[in-house]
Amino acid sequence: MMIQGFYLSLAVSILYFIIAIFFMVHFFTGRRLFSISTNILLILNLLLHTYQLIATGMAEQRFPLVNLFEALSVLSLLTAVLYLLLRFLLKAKSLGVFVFPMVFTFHLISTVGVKIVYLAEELFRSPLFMFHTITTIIGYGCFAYSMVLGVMYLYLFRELKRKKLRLMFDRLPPLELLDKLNNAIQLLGFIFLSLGIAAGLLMAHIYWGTMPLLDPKIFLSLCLWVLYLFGILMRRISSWSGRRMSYLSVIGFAWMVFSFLVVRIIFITVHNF
Amino acid sequence: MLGVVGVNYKSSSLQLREQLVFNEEEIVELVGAMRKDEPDAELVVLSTCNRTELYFNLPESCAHRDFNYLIGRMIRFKKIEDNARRYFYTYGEQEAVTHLFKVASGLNSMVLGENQILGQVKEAYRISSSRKNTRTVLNRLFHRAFEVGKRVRTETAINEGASSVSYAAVELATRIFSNLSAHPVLLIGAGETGELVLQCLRERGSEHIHIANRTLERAQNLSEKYKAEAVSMQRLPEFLVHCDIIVASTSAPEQLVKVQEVKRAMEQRHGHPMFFIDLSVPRDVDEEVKKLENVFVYDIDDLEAVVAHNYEKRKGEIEKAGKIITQQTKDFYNWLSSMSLSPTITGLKVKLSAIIDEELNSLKNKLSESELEKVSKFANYVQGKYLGLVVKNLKKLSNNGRQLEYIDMVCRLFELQGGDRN
Repeated sequence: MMIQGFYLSLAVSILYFIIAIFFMVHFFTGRRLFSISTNILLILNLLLHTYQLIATGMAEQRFPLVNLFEALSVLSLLTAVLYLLLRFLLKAKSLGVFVFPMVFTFHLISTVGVKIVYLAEELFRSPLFMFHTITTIIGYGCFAYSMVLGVMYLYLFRELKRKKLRLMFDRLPPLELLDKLNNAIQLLGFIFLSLGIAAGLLMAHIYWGTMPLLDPKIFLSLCLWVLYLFGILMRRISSWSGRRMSYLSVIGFAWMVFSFLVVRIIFITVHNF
Repeated sequence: MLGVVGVNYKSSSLQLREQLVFNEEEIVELVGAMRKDEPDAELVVLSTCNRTELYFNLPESCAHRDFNYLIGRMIRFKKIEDNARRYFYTYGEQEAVTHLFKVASGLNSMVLGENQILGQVKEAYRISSSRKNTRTVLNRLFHRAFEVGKRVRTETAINEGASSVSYAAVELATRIFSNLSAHPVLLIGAGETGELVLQCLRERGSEHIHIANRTLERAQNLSEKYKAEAVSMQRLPEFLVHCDIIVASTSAPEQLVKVQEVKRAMEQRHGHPMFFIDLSVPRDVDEEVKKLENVFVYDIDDLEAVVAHNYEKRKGEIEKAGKIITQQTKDFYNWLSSMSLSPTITGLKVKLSAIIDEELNSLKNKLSESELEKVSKFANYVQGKYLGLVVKNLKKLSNNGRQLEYIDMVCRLFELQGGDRN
């Protein structure tokens, strides 16, 4: 069963890799065939990915989001779904080339770690836990998008300022739209992260009787929350926008990757994933 | 015979093209007169500021009519001197098909890949087809040309990027602001160049336009034309705060937009982006302005560089477009040639039946009725077998774009009349 799960996950990873390559070919060559086939392939892979998660949950009789690797898998699924929404609602086709290398990387890490399963404690079965993980993952997905939009903004801004109008000028949406989208998605991410952190702290209080705010992982997550709160406030109070907010998105994402992935390797934390 | 005769911006002077411009009534009159002489002819006249062309498909009965005859009809209609003939180009058969496909795709246009020509080709076809001056061949040819024009534009980047300074300026504005109607525009100077940019901005949705000029009266005149607001030059700092797109196009010897003014404006605008299009020589906008955060300044040289870059990109797409056109020309010509097979086959059948009838007649007195019936059945059977074999192989052998040659050979072998496409 486990082996089957691994191969299924590997197949999803490979398909995300192919999709990322197709997006690149379409972005650089503008060939329509790649755009159409990529969308079909993406929809099929999203169905396969969803099936993979449901199959894992059903096989192990638990919510399929109880370790870091499953969290990454859900994060990649959410990011890919969000791409489709933006693709069809806002016609932001060019996002794909930036988003899918990230989706592939997240999913590949989750595939490599698919065999590592934590003991299904009572904690992992509680609705509060599901709420905590889902909201936090959605929040992280939004911040990943915010980083992508920020990078796109910075690229286009640089081309326009330097007057060297190349590929980004031809392919990317206007600066104003990128900034507005970034603002909306950052706000959405902040709301979900706030809910996730609140649920997590409440859960810690219920199950552990304490709120380990100084635990490295929890502390860094709170810092991330403060960073985005600072950005949102600065946008409203000091009219921060455009480049500054794009830099903040990139820094925020780097922080998120650090607190989400790297911190577990460096520090000892009570937060298992 | 399928072909085209005409003049364009490459083959003739503007003066001759002006004389050869046909409006709708003139096209109707010319084509009507030609159709009186040749009722089966199919004719379409395409007349734009850069070209006047007559596309035709003449039946075999008009074989004596050549390109010179058609050119003559056009120049006599326009009462132009006969020596204008030498500026006309002529294309027949496959070359004519390729030429129309190139025209519809914008490959033959002065501004490479421009979109307007496709609409003009459609209009030329409408004028003729609505008066039944086109039939099977030109109907199919023009519809195929519309498809080719569309395909070339969607599958290549032949029409991507602005091709004039004013369009380049507006294209840049659309890369900074997503919806031009929400961003007020200030035009400094009421000259012709600025007006061109204004026209493009209006086309792309700009609604709130203010025009500042030293002579307020000129600003008011232009404002009336574009439903804009005329403002005096003294109010410039105030409008720098309010407007997102500033088009400067004056002949003022001094700089009109100072860096300090823009700095102050940016503070009041809370850093909201500004886009300066400086079309003036000497420049109206202080060079230091471009260094400010969230301020984009493009002068005439920058815009011309954008246009030149776009032109290079378009040129790079010619080969891709050419492939589509070659393939489509081949497909069309195969269809056109296959149209000629059908009368040839019918002619062959009639010819063989005539031979059989003749031979049976000569046997009437020598054979009994039952024997004659048997011979007749046998002869018809052999005719069917041979005809089937000839038709099958004729189709097979001629499916290489050389149908007309094969048809001609069959016609000669069996002493048939030439196949008529119509």
